[in-house]
Amino acid sequence: MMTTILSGLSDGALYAVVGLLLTIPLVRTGDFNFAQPAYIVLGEYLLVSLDNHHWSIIPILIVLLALGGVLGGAQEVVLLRPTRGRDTALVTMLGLFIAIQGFVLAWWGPNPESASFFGGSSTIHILGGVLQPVDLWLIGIAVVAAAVLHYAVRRTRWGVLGRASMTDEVGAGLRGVNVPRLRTAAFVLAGALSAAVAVFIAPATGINSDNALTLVVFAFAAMAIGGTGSFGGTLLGGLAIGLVYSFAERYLTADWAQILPFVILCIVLVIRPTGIFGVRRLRLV
Amino acid sequence: MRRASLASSVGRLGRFGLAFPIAAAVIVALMPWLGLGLTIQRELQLAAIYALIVAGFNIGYGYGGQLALGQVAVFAGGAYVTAILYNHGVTELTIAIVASVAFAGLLGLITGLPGLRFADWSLALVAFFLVLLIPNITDLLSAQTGGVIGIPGIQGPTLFGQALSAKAFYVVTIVVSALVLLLYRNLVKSRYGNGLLVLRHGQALARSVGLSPYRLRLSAYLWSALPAGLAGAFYAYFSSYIQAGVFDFSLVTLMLAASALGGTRSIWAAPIACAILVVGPDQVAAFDKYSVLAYGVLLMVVGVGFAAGLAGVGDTALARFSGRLRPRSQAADVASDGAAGAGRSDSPDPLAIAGASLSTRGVSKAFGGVRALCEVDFDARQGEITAIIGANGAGKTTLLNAISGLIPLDSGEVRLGEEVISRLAADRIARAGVSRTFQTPQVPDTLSVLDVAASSRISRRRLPSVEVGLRSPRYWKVQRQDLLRARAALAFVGLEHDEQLPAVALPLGRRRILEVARSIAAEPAAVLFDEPAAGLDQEALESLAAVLRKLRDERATVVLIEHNVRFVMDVADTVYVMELGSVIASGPPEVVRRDEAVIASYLGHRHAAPEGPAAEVREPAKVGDGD
Amino acid sequence: MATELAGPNGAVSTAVANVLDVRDVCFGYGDLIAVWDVSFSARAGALTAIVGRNGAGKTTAMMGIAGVLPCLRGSVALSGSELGSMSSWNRSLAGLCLVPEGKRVFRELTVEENLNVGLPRRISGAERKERCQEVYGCFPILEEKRKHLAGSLSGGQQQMLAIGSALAMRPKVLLVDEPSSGLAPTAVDVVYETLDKLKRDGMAIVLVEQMVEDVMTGIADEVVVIEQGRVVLHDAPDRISLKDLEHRLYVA
Repeated sequence: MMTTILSGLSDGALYAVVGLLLTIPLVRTGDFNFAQPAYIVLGEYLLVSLDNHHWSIIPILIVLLALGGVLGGAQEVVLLRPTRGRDTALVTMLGLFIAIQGFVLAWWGPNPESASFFGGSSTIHILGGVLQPVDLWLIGIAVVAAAVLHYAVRRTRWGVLGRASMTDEVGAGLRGVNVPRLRTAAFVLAGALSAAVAVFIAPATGINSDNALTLVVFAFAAMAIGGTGSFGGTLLGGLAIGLVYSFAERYLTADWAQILPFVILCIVLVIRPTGIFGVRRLRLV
Repeated sequence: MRRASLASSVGRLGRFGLAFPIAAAVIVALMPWLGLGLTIQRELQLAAIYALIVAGFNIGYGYGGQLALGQVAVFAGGAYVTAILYNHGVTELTIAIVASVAFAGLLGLITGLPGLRFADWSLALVAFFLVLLIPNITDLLSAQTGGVIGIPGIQGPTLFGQALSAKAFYVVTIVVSALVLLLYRNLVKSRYGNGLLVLRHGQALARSVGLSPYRLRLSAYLWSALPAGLAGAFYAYFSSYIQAGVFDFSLVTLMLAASALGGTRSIWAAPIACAILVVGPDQVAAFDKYSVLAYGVLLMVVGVGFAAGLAGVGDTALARFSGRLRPRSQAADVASDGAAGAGRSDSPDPLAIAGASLSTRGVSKAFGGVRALCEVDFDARQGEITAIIGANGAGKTTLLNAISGLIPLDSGEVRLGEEVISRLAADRIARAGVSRTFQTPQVPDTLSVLDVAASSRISRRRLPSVEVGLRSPRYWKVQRQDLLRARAALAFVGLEHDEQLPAVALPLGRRRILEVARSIAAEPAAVLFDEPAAGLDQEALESLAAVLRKLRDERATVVLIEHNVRFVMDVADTVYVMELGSVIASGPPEVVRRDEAVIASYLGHRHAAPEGPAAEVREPAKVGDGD
Repeated sequence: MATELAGPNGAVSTAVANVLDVRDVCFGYGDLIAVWDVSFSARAGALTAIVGRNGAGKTTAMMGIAGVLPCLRGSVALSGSELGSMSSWNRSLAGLCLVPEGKRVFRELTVEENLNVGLPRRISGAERKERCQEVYGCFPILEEKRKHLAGSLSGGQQQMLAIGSALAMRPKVLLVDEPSSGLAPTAVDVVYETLDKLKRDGMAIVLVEQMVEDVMTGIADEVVVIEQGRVVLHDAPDRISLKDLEHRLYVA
């Protein structure tokens, strides 16, 4: 039973992390960056290649951060600025998502890969259940990230400027805030972190270009259920989904494990579109 | 004389336009007897099947503005229904098609309904989730669906009892697809398609011309889902083996790429785009490895750069060929003689725009803690221009929005003639005869001037979309009427020479006047003008004044909200002056302009605002507001 | 560098260096041109009043000068250097600050956070405190309410906050758009007294108002009248008769 709970928490933490990273551009620019989870997959494949060349973890993280940051910035400037607010914005972002998957397929081929966790794969016993180090890390990262991001948005100057820009873009400009640069920076940050977090996600899920869709869909469910725009809500939403999944897998069937989160998502969206703790709807700005 | 030849050449081009696709379909259908190999035959068949899905997607997205990404789930549903029927011994294609299409409609409504509640990304992601779950759902229902293994060996389709050979089945697929595409082409190149484009431009605009966003969206979901079901039915027999793994995200990708390549607003380009994307990867071995990457790049390029895709290129080529750049106006595509020539007689039927009186009693509305409207009594009579002036925040536009139903009243009533219209929905009020213009002209960027003028007539004489698609005799009759009235309205305001231009190409003053034409084409009971004079130069102001006077002379009921005091004093018969939500003076212009309270209000004096948390009293910021 | 200021009668007076020079500017939205060939200046220690009816183009002019709208023609110069197509954020950091109309504050931020938005990044914590104190000095009620959300303030307090958030940026020229609109008389008095004091302390102020009377009596050193997007009158207040002005605005 405890193992079910623990595995639910670690799966949930994974989705929460992806959701938290998606929340960054959402609360800074109003955009839902559908392509971001594809950055994770790209990072995963790169991790495998670098691993095969025996790179150690710190240089790998640096490369992933740089790659994700550049890609995120380029996406905002080249793809989003011309299309923001227009009906082709979704299709353009989907295009990048698909292009990244296509690139991965073309470069690394269609076979799944695997990567081992830099922190080892020993079995850890907690309260009668079992976990792996990567699972603990994911839970830790999710909780810490949610707390840090929440604090940053609420209490730092960085957060104040972002909230001002989202409230009144013109007014913020009149008070010295370079709103376009703020937006690009949000994408750079979220992109960098997304590519880097591949180091933790790859060992947990395995590496496969198809994963990108699962990640984005479950992360969205975490955000939508827990509350879009809320870091704490997304964390709780992710953990909730993870637990539902885990228990359904154990006590029902694997099929229900996938279907139940979907059902819950639909119910929440109909009853309370902003999610349980949500502050903003997932609209195109 | 010149007019006649333009109309007939437009008619000729329209005929030309339809002949091409029909000829192409016939040639493709006859391909097996013209030496086409089996591989290419199957690829073309698959392209036709996919084209059905894409056509449905296009009507949902290109016209409806809704990213109907659940198509693949509907496609899967249709395929499974046919496969399950096969398992129960039913190989009759007609039955399979009916069952699959019906199921598609149901599934389409279910997956589309949430779109009424939340849009954009939420809808797209829910659809993707559903596609992701197809293997799980089929596994749960494995008794019927064969679970992971699926349903193999689906063979031997029969049509009206006759067994179909592979070639015959191919022909049936091509012919049926072509007919369905024709139906969809008819749907989009018509008042129905235009209605969707109006809704896509904005809900307020749709409502103000009498369209119900809710019903229109629902019908769009239905229309976009049905062909996917049909496609599924064909696919089951085409592939002989239905298995959940086929219906995955890469199919979504293909559909999006085909739509982007062909143009999201084109029906005829869809099969061409599908053929390219189906045949391409096979013919070019290297392409297969890079196909997904290529699709992604295509979507990005199209998304950022070219909104029209292939169809846009074709349009431009055709336009250069015909010597003039024009949008795909429904008038141009109508191949019928009568409709194309409608309204071209020397004395067009006079429009019946004699109005009914419009009045309000005790209308009040508060936003948050602030009273935007305070017991407003107001009367507009037919054959008169009644103007409402006042400073910003006075409540003029709020009153207009309240009368036209875009915002609900807190109390009071609004009457049109004898009828109380205050509690009705905005689209219902518009259908009752209350027409309005917008300060920033609401003109969908893909419609021609004539289409915009005619758009108010869509709700005036309602036709089921099926009749529109099938081009029933009643459709032609209504279409003729609509064009007649729309042309008369354009002639009334002086825009008749511009009817084929893209509406957004007109300068601001003329776009405002186009909205006037749209309003009167529906033969309204009252027309409300929202600051029509803002930002116009002297010449445009004079044109506007002339149109307003002409309307008054025809005994229309004209209500004018304005800032430009001089303009109002010039044209109006009765003037109401508002301040802070109340009427402070009313009467003929000469009387009102001398009223002390009005002078003080106009030059500005201290408004004693109550202390307390300030709420948003301003009406939504518009051009020119707040100066 | 002395600049010639020409009145309508051709009488010329020399003025000290202008903090703000607006020359023949045109601003608009899409194909709707709202401001045509407007010119005026602002000097340190003086208040230039822009008056006009509703819809005359005053706010569009201010938004254009602040850099929110593109400059279709003409030029805007701050302390002698032309701004060209400089963004609104760079203009405000350079010293050209606009207080837009409508009590525009960030409702979901606290008073303190509102003031902090405009403060440049590279100043010390001590200087931040100092600047906020300066603003509280002008408007003591804001200090009381500094942890409150801006949306919970009264109208008058919000207007003070709007002005204060511009002052925190220590502008060279302050543009204020209809600060008295929708305010109770007592609040208006506070605002005008503050503007007067700022002017006497050496700030260049451009004040946009519909209320002709107030800008005429005392506070304005120069009056620019805008009608239908164009300047129709530009003179010192003592050379304009109130009756004349009313007549021109309302009747002509």
